[in-house]
Amino acid sequence: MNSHEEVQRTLNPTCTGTSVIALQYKTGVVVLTDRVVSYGKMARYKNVSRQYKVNENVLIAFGGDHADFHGFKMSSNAKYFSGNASIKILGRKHSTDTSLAFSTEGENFLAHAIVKIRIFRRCKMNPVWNTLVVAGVEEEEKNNKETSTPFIGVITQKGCAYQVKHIATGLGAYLLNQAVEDEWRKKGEDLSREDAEAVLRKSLELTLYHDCVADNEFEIGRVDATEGVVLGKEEKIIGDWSIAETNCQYE
Amino acid sequence: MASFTGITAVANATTDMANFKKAMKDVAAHPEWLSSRHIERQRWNPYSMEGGSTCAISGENFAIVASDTRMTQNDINILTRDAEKIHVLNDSIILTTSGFYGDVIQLKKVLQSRLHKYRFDYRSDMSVDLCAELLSRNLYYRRFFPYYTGAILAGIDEHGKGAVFSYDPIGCIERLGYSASGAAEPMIIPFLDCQIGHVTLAEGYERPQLTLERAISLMKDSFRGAAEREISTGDKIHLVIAEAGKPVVQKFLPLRED
Repeated sequence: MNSHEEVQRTLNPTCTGTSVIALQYKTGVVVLTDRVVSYGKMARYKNVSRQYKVNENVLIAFGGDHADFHGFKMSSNAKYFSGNASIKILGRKHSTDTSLAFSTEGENFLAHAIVKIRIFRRCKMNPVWNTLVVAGVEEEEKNNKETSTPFIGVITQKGCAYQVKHIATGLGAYLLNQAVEDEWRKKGEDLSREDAEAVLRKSLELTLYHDCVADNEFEIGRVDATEGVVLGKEEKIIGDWSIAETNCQYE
Repeated sequence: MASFTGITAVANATTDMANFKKAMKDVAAHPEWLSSRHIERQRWNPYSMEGGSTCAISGENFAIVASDTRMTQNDINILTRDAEKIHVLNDSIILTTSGFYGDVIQLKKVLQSRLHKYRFDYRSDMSVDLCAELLSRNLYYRRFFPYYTGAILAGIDEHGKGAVFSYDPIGCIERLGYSASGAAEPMIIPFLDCQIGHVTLAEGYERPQLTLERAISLMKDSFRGAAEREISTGDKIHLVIAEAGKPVVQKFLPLRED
């Protein structure tokens, strides 16, 4: 167990972000992340945004190692997708026969590229220790906002990728998935943005009570068919801690 | 293992320091309590199981493939209830896999690019028999870092008969009448052995014909039974029906969600 080996390949994450919660609504996607990066159980870096706007249609949020995500942001891969306006990244007919990582209907070129990188790195036993949530809006026809469909894709550190309509990653996966799914099933695709954000805020409250590395300062970013990507402002919630007094070990 | 024998004269300080450092590193790397089991655990595992099961049945002129649509993490946490485990590669080839989903994605892409190239070279779609050999070889290329999937390839072969090919993770290929893979494989295969293979039926008795309706009904029963007891199977049955001369039909049927 050479201690230098672990430094060269990320086998233990150091500074990590926790859950990402994302939900589709009628015309787009809302993504909630808290604004802390933890060093083990210590809340080391606050006021850190865990969401990244790639281009007008795509927002990426990460959980997991911050350094790995930063590497991804700074690398040429990210720049390729953010710079060039003439490349229709999320255009459906990017290549007619190649069915991409996600299901045959929801093709997302950026996510496809990320998945390839992930699997490559994982095969070298040097994983990118992030769970990424790629949120975006796909345009069925060029410039026709009416037919754009919201898209959420999740990519794990091992290269497993799937498309979903609502997701909670990290510890939130155990706590929140059912709560978010119940809300989603009540209204389905007719959720409005305000409803979706209310669901997310409720979910954050739940993580706050149960996840020790979650923080009460958070941001909600969204990708909307008409507005494009809008990163959120920092918000804070306190939550209801009155239950602490009934806890027998609370002094 | 170098031993640290105390600080001696200044002239030997560098070698002493080097020995000290080496001794410290050795102790950190090989503490007495660190058994081989601990070492094994500390290594990062590049695979993760996403759960789920799939099944395929072939008949005279049809092949049907079904899978559940649940993707789980650590077997207990449901990630999505709408996962796609059956991939229709072209008009006559259906690939279904279970196991590590990252490898499933990679395998699907590899096959698709090979099929695309075949179509470019020969101007017609690849048939299931050829694709079966291709898949077997592609699985074996990764003999020393396998695709952790139990793949099943199904379709209509060149003579219009249904075909089901079953694989192990490194490419052992077998053409069978029916096959299953995934978490519920040990539940589905004995059921199909009884109902399609008729292994429990005595010699003289008449065997029921395997029609498309009977195959679909057996498929539904297998999944409903598997979802009762197997935790990573459930949510929906994704059923794909390929018949000779007809386009591929896909259906979704409900299944238990617990």
